[in-house]
Amino acid sequence: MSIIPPEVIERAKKGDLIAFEEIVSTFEKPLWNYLVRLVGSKDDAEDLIQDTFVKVYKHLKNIDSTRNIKSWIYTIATNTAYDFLRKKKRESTTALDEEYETKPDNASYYSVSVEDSIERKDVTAAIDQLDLLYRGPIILYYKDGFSYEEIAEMLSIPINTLKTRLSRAKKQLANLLVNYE
Amino acid sequence: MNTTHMNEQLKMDDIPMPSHLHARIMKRVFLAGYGKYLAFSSSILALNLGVLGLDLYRAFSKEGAEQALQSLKDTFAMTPAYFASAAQTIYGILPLQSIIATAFTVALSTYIAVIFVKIYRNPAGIRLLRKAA
Repeated sequence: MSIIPPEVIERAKKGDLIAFEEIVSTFEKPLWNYLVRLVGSKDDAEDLIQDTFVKVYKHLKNIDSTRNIKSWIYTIATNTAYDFLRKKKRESTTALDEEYETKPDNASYYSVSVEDSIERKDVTAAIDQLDLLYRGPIILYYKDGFSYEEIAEMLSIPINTLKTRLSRAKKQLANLLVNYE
Repeated sequence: MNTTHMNEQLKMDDIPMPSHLHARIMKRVFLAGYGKYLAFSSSILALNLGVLGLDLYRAFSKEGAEQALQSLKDTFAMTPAYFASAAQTIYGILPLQSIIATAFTVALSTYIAVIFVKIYRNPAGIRLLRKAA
């Protein structure tokens, strides 16, 4: 993923839509992948990615240019997705046992995976089955390559908590993959 | 499952982004940035059109004006002479500033509407703005 030059960020901060489009073009694909995995639905991810970039555009003028913009955009996307999932959970008639244990809307997601290889489908499906508490960190760490510090800041949790969650996520993922075999 | 193995597995798993999504994002951003200005200018123009419409209605409702318009209606013909006479009649009924203001407002409203629709329908989002820059 290429880094956005500071002058592009400065132009975007002044309301330049062309500069902002460069930011969108750089981050839209990884963010799309992240949000689809996080919420488990392509339709919801479409709405969420739009909401995310609108928020980024509105608040861009407040960001410190020295700050890591990638991590900042992912923080907004994560918060937007978590707010959406909390709202969805509240509205849902089915009561769930644990907080954040939202299960994905698999119908639209798996329709895409039909063409995929068996291995890819297994891992993707297993990630979808992870608790939301673990799903976000594991995608951010293994797929998007963020550091412990960046993810901890994004999720507003201590690094040790993050490490624990990642460790539990790996165990849960391993168990799920065994069940798929 | 080690980190390298997991990275390899997850890297394979890119989900293709819908082709329309980039344009949709840019449209939403455009509306978030400029929607309020468009709404404000459109409402001022709508108010302006309303006031002008009332002005025109009053002008055309006068007794002499009604008769002149009825006469134009009765003698309608697709000839240059008729259109010259019609223009003269309307000019006699309406003050010049009303005619100019009406024409200007209608032209500006149409322009704003066309630009807005073009930008909104443009699949590349803000390419029109880029061309203009």
